[in-house]
Formats: sequence, C-alpha cells, structure tokens
Amino acid sequence: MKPKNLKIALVGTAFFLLFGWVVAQGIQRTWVYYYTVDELMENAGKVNGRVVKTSGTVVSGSIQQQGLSLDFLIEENGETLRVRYRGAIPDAFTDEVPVVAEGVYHRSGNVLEARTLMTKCPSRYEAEGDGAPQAAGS
Amino acid sequence: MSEFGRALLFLAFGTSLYAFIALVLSNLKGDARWKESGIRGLQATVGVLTVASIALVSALIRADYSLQYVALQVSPGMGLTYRIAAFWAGMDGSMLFWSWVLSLYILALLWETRQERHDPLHSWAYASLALSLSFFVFIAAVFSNPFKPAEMLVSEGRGMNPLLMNVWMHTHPVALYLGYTGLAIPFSYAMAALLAERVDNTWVRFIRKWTLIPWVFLTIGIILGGRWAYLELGWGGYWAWDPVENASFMPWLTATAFLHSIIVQEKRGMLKIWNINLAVITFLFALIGTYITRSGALTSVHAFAESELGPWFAGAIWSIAVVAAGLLYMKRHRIQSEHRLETLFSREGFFLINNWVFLALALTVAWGTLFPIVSEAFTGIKVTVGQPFFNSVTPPLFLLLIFLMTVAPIISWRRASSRALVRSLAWPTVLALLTGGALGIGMRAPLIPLLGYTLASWTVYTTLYEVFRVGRARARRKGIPLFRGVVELLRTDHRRYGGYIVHVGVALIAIGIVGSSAFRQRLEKEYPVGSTFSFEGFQIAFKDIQQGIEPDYRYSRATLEVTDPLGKSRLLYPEYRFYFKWNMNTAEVALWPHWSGDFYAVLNGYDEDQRMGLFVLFWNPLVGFLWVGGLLVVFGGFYALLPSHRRNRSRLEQEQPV
Repeated sequence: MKPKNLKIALVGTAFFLLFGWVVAQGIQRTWVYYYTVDELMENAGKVNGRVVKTSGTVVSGSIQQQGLSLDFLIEENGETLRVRYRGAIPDAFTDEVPVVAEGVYHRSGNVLEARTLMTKCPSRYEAEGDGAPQAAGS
Repeated sequence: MSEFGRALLFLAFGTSLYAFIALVLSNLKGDARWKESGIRGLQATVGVLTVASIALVSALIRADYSLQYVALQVSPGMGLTYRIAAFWAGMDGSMLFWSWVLSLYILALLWETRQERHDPLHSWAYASLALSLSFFVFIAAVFSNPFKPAEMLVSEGRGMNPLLMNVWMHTHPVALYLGYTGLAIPFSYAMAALLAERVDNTWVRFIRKWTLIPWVFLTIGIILGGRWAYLELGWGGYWAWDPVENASFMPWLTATAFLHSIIVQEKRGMLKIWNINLAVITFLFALIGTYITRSGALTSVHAFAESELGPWFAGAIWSIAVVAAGLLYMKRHRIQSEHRLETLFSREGFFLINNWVFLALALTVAWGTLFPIVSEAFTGIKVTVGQPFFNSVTPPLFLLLIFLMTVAPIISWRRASSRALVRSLAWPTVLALLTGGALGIGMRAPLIPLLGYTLASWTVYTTLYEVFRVGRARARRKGIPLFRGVVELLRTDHRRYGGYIVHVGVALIAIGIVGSSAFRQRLEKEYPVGSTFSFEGFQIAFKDIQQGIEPDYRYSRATLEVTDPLGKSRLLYPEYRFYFKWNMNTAEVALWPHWSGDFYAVLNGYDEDQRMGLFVLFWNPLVGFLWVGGLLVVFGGFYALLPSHRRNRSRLEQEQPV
C-alpha cells in the first residue's frame, strides 16, 4: 500500500476503533436486564435495588387506580409481581394484557417502582402475537 | 376465491423463478431468445401479481369474510379507503403488496431500459431482480398467504387496530415499502456490474436515479411514521428508537452514503469496491428491515427462532452476503481505481469521511437494535438496550455529519484551497456564531444542543450564501437581475441544487430535533372540571367533559380553553377512547402548533365520581422545524430527480478525463 493511502486507511481505522469503543461503552452504561416475572423471581437477589425491565400479564381485577397512580399485579408462569406506576397510562392498558414495565425492583415487598409502562399487545399490525411494544411515558 | 388466490401466488412464484433461470442462461450462453423469454416471464409475473392484488383488494372491499385475512382486517363500519389500506395494514397482505410493488419497479425498469436490453449489465440485473422477486412471492405464497380460508365463519369482521386508523399510518407503510423494495435495484446492478465485469461508471451513473427514487420514498416513510407516532401514540414524541423505526433508518443511512459515494466514483473513478459494498449492505439492511417490520421478532431469540420466516430471511441474508463477497473476491482484478485520494482535505476526502460516519451510524443503530438478541444467544443473559444508548452515542456523529454536510458541497475536488473556503464560509460562520451565541445566552443551552443549533444554522447560512454568491456572479456576467441569476442557477443543475435543498432540510430537521428533545417540557396531573391551571406560559381552563358512544368506541372528550403567552385563545378537545372489539384505550391528541413550538395535550383518563380529568401536557419547542425540514428534504429529493439541462452536455464532458 502506498504511504498516502496507508495514512488515510490509518485515519479510518482509528475512527472506527474509537467509535467502536464509544459504542461498547454506551452499551455497557445503558443496558438493562430484561426478565419475565418468573425469571425475575429467580434472579431477585441479583437485581434487588437495580433498574430492570420485566414483562408479564396484568392479573385480572388487580388494577387499583387513583388518578394517575396505578398499582397492579403482573403474572408469568405462576409467579406474580406488584407494579407501582405513576404517569401516562398507555393505550390498551387493562386486565389480562401483556405489559412491559421498567423501573427499580425492591425485593422487600416484591415490588417494581416502574418509570415506564408499555402494553405489548396488540402489535402494530396484528391482534394476536406479540409485536413491538408501544411506547408510552418516557 | 381462496383457491384462486393461492393458485395465483404459486403461478407468480413459478413465472418469476422461470424468468431468473432463463435470464441466467441467456447471460451465460449469450442467447437472445432465452433473454426474450426471461423478460416475458418477468412481465407475466407482474401481470399475475396485479391480478392477485386486485382480487385481494376486491375481497376486502366486498368484506368477503370467507378469507381469514379479510375477517381480521375489515369491520362493517370501515370506509372504503380503510378497506383498501387493509391490503397492506396486516402481515399477510403486506407480503403480497411488497412483491407487487417490487414487480412494478421491475416493469418500470424494463421500460426504461427497453433500448439497452442486449447489454449484459442490464440483463444480469434483471436476473438478480427476478430472484429477489421470486423469494418474496415464495414467502407470500407459503408463509403468509392472504387468501387463507377463514378458520371459522364470522358475520362481522373485527376491523383494523384503531391505532392504525389514521391517514399517516396508511400512507407511511406504502412509502416505506416503495423504499425497501426499490433498494433491490441498486443491489442488483452492483451484482450485475461484477458479473458482467463492468465496474466502471456506467452502472453508477445509471443507478443514481434508481437509488434516489427509493431513497425519497424511504425518507417520506420515515417522516410520515414519525408524524403518525406524534399524533397517534400520545407520548409527545415522534421517534423512540424502537426496532421498527431503526429498521427503516439503517437502510436510509447506507443509501444516503451510497448516493454520495457514487458521485466520487463518477467524478474521480474512485471507491469502486466500496460502492458495490454499500449497495449490497443497503439491500441487506432493507431485508432485515422488512423482516423486523413484518415479524416483530426482535423481542427475543425465542420469537426469532419460533418465527417461520426467521430461517428463510436469515438464509437469504447470509447467501447474499456470501455470494456478494465471493463475487467481489473473484473479480477483484477487474476493478482498478483511476485516481488515488491525495488528501482528506478535498471533496472526495470529505465524501469518504461522510461515508465512514454514515456507516458508523448504521452499524451503531444495528448493534443497539440487535444487541439483545446477540446477548441472549451467546451469553443467555436477556437484556434490553433502549433510548438512553442511542441518545448518548449518536449525537456526536450527527454533529459531525452536519459539519461535513456544510463544507463538502463547497470544498474543491482533489486538493482544497483554504482561501476559497474562507471566502465561502466567512460570513455564514459569523452569522452562525451570532445565532448560537444568542441561543446560548437566551435559552441557557447545554453544550451539545448549543453545538447542534450553531452547526445547523451554519449549514443553512452557508448553503444560502453559496447560492447567492454564485447566482450573483452569474447575474453580473449576463447582466440580468440578481433574482433571475439565482433562479437560472438553480435550474442549471437540478442534481446539485436538489442536494443543497436536502441539506437545508436536514439542517432544519436537526434544529427541530434539538429543540424538541433538549427543551421539551412535560406536565402530568389530574384536574377537576372547572379548574384553571398554567403550563409554560399557557393558561388552561378545563371547561367541560362530554361522554358518548360511537359504533366502535365510547369516548370522553375534554374541552380546554387554552390561552397562549401572547394572549390568543383557542379551544382544544383532547379525547380518550375505548374500543370495544379491541378492548383497548386510545388517546386522541389535541395540538396547537406555534412557530416556536407545539402545545400538545393528551387526556389520559376520566374519573367520573370525582369529575377529574387526567392530563398529560407537553411543550415541544421548534418541533415544526422538523416537519418543514422533512418536506424540504422530500422536495429536494424530487428536485434532484428532474432531468438537468446540463446533463446532456456533461455526458459528453465525461468522455474526457476530469
């Protein structure tokens, strides 16, 4: 390779290496565990007091709503978890709906203080099947 | 009906596969009869797919519930336009729609190249397109047949998801498909250039238009999708870095890079291998995008593995990558760069850096989108990567792109002179610094948003100043008024000035994004009927709430009398609906756009006992710039597609080494 091309190739390589490092750091800083409720129970010790994302189905009749505050149970494979959330209630939120909640998990009281709450169903295109979750809150 | 539709799909699969085989044979043997036959096969496929599409649309309009797809998509209350839109609103219909759109592209391409069909460059491209088409028709016929008979007969269909019942939602998938499918053409020509050993300027010059068209549609799709999210989802934003959104953004990024780097090949005869790679990568991203959009299978490895389509798409993606890499390797001696890059401080140097940045962005988005799957597959740890990742990693790259976008169009080829640059940049730089300084003091902006504003305004000033400067020179030379000089200039080279318009549009979009993300305000609170409250200088009187029932839903509609900081008043009616068949709530957003930002009101529920409404209010500064900028980008794209007066002349010029 001629010296000039070499120099440019080096600049390019340096750019991609630097950026790869930034991306890797970014992932390191921002990734969050994503468990279903039963998996969360298995790993309860590990994630106690940390931000975690979890998915489950709203238990029928468990929703208590006071203004913008929600308190409800979600269930997956026989395990349940209490979710507390305050904020915009996502479209389609009701009994028996699969939801994804993200927030800090507290082992004492087995409760998730959710910052975001999304309904997973229906997907953008079909009624059945779980598609992309709809964003709500932020 | 069901049998007829299914037969049509298999027939189309047969004809497209036949066309592929015939075209490959014709190219290998140099036999014109095989070629003729293959082209007939392609044309027949277009016809069959058109009949199938008409059959499906007519079933949707007639509400023929003997088809499962119709029963799921159509309800008696749905009007004609929604019934037509149901063609592409569901998974199964959209696969047929995809194939049909691709076949129409092929038909247009056959027409455009009708005089040059003997050229192996074109006939190899036809073959590659025939193969892509047969793949999608196969998927439609076998895995997502919209003509499947209904599992049980219903007297009334369920109808479309209410979130999808919105004009933006119906237009944006069409635009996205036109984008995704069209990207098969640059890919096919890249393959053809290798197979026909014609990696010269012919294919890049030919492919520019056929890349720009899908690029414009992809842009329209992304912007309309954002508009839909903004108006319909009620969370105050327009972009959530959701996998479906990322899926459309990745091919857009690499297609944009491609549109820039083919200019370098055309003008300087460099980056030939790189261009082929970019065309391939772009099509791969389009395939990944189609798969993600259509299957929603990015939620976990299991969803991916359980999806029937997963292995087929994965297989297609890997085979394309392997075949393309193999071809490039085999033909590497046929590809010679005509010039060397002398310095990065030149237009080609800036284009190269621009390409690196676009590729880095696309890879970042891909990595963030696919990381959860990779992590689960290799370590078993289920994780999620969301907005915080994208929002922290991508801004520096976007800023770098805005910088390049400003300088690259005015810097000269080969080796730039600093003096010429200073002449073009001096005044715009002063203006941009003044704008940035004013904003920094006025809004107390943090560093990154401040840089964003300053750079974006720099782009706008520099581009306008350049047009003004060159237009003025033309006016003086020809002794015509300045305005006419500028207009004439803009008409001399649609391609270049279309690009300028796109750049200004992108700068405006950047201003809108910085404003509405860095300075957004949000209020969530419950208020009793009759109360008044204030938010960001707006006075809001919660006058009344009405409840009622429509055929498909019941609603609560609030009446808000809003007074803006300047004293103007307006009534807004945010609405909260519950759709019976879907067992689903939706919020109808009420908007009051100002030039300085949008007042955005959502009613999130109503407590009948206490007569309390739950409101979420947003103040989204400068978000209007985003939509105006989007319109400009699309307009600039179309402008660049207009035939240039200069084009004929430049074809002659290109015979000479530049």
